[in-house]
Amino acid sequence: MKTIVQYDDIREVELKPSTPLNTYLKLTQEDVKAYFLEGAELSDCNCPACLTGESNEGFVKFGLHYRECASCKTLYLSPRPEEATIDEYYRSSKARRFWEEQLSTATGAKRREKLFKPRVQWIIETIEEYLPSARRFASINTIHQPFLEELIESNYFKEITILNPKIKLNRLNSQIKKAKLVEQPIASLDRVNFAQGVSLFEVIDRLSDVETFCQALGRILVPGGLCFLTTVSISGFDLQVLWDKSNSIFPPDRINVFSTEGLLTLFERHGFDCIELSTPGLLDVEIVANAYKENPSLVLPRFVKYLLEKRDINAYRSFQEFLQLNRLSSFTRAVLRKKE
Amino acid sequence: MGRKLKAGIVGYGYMGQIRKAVIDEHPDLELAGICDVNLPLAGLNPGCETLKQYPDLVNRDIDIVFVCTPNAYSPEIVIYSLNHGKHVFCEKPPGCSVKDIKDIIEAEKANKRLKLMFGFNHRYHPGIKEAKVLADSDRLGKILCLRGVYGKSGGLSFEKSWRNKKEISGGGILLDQGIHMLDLFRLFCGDFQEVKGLITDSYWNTELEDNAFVLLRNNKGQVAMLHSSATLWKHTFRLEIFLEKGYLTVSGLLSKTGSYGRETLIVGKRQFEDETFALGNPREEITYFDRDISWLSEVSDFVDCIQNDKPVTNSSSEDALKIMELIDRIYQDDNIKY
Repeated sequence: MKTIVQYDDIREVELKPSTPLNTYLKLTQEDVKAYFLEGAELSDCNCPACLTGESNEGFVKFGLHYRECASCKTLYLSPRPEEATIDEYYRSSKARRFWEEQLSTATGAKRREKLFKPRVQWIIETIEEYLPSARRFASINTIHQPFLEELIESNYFKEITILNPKIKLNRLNSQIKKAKLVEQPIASLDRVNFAQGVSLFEVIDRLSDVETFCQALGRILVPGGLCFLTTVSISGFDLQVLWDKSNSIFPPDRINVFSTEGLLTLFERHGFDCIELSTPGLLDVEIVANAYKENPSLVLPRFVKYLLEKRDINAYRSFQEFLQLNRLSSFTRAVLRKKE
Repeated sequence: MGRKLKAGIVGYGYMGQIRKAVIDEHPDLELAGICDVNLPLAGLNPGCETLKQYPDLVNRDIDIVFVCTPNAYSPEIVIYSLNHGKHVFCEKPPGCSVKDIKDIIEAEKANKRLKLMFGFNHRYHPGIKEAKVLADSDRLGKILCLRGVYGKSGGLSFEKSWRNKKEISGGGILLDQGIHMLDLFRLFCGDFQEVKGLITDSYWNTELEDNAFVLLRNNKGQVAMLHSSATLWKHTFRLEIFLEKGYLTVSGLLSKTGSYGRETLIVGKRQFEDETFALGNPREEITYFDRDISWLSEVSDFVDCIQNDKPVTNSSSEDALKIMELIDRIYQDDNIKY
């Protein structure tokens, strides 16, 4: 298993400008109330990563309860809404509309350059090394149209299937028109062993039924097929430090916030080998620093406070590098291979 | 799955023990016996039949012979095994001289259905494999030049090792260790036509070189520079590949002892700003590797060639010949004759 450490000059504000982000969070809070708190059926669950039943109270966000697994430390929503209710939320909530029409547009060019182009390159280079014959790719439950456009534009794959997108795709887009669109959850697909590679970008964070999804994932991938995954991990520095004050943890975008240990356990249980597990995040320290700047009364561990107050950007960068090297940044990416 | 291939190991020193571990791990291989003139080796119980004379092992019902003996003995055992119908995997170097590998190739030609591969396992290290994918992808442009440092710490009694006995090894640090870096140079840039070498025996006084400084240039104008050393006082592996739009650096090597440090691949992209503003600190991505898959991967390739009757294209006898000819030219350039 390998780990990636990256250096770049990206800043939090470029990807998450604070004014529209605050609007998005406010709208999400309202929508969570409407979709999940008023009459929706919520069910208790065990840890979605290691299935352990024992857990500790985490915190409450937007009226819903997060629990921390006593074993693998994954943070998860319990009780939680059903998959169909979450789907409905992503199809029609005001918050998601705002995300697609305002927030994602405002940061679109930067995201394309800094996030999606490198992700396509990552996919192609990994396939070249581990499964060079792979030309059938599927993007599952995607929420990023620019990623799909970049992927198709690369002309690397012979067949790209967009499976159950969670956004309203611009079907008139010349690139999107070249892909095959299947608007059906992967758990209900009859086809098996058809994808040689799949992408799950910020997908497992939003799943209600992780077990069923992973079983279906195992069915659609060929043996030896590769799964490219990104997620936000509770092992990350900014999430551990800010915890309930983190703007990155809220339902339903983060129903599951896996620890790196939990993530490995989950995919091992479902028949995958892990080729790469990295946390190449660049923003943990900056996110905590910004949160502290906005709210100086924020309670932080003494060491963190000292670091933020008495050290400069060079120390922040060194610390961020340490976090990446030790898989302690919250942005996580993994390459998983279905066992032969 | 078909029947397992039966493998025997000749030479049960450091490399023989590594090969045994690979055979034990490989699903299509079965260890049939081990031969070593020094058996029984104190503290080692290989858990299979052990023999002292290699013909006794080769003439058994086995499919593959792994030749893990010192350089001077390998050619004879490889040739004997090929002539007795066995596939052969032989550690590098392929003997002590160009003549040795030419003799081996004669035996290979006389036994066309058999597979022969040499242990240039560095090609299979994860850092090298990823660097090769990137270099071939043209993402960073064409390769301009290579720089390699490969060296040993040179511990207590280093000079007493068989590797420093001229009649057994046939060469010093260049033939023992630098050969891997030269193999990697060929992997990335092909053959080199111009060869310059400076060979020194600066510290150990073994009659063999303890340092080799090598400059190579090929017809495409690509230059490669090697420092192969037994006086670095720290185990060191570093291969730098400079390309038109950036650089790749493989540093450290996953090994049994971990003494070469954690294996990493650095991918750096050249800054295209005006020179006034370029800070000389470009964007880098570092990959840290956790597991040495090189031994298993190369043997898996070899097994695949046998099972599916494919030609050996990686670490073949031709690769071995080209490397031995290159080393011979390096020695000749500094008037070294062993």
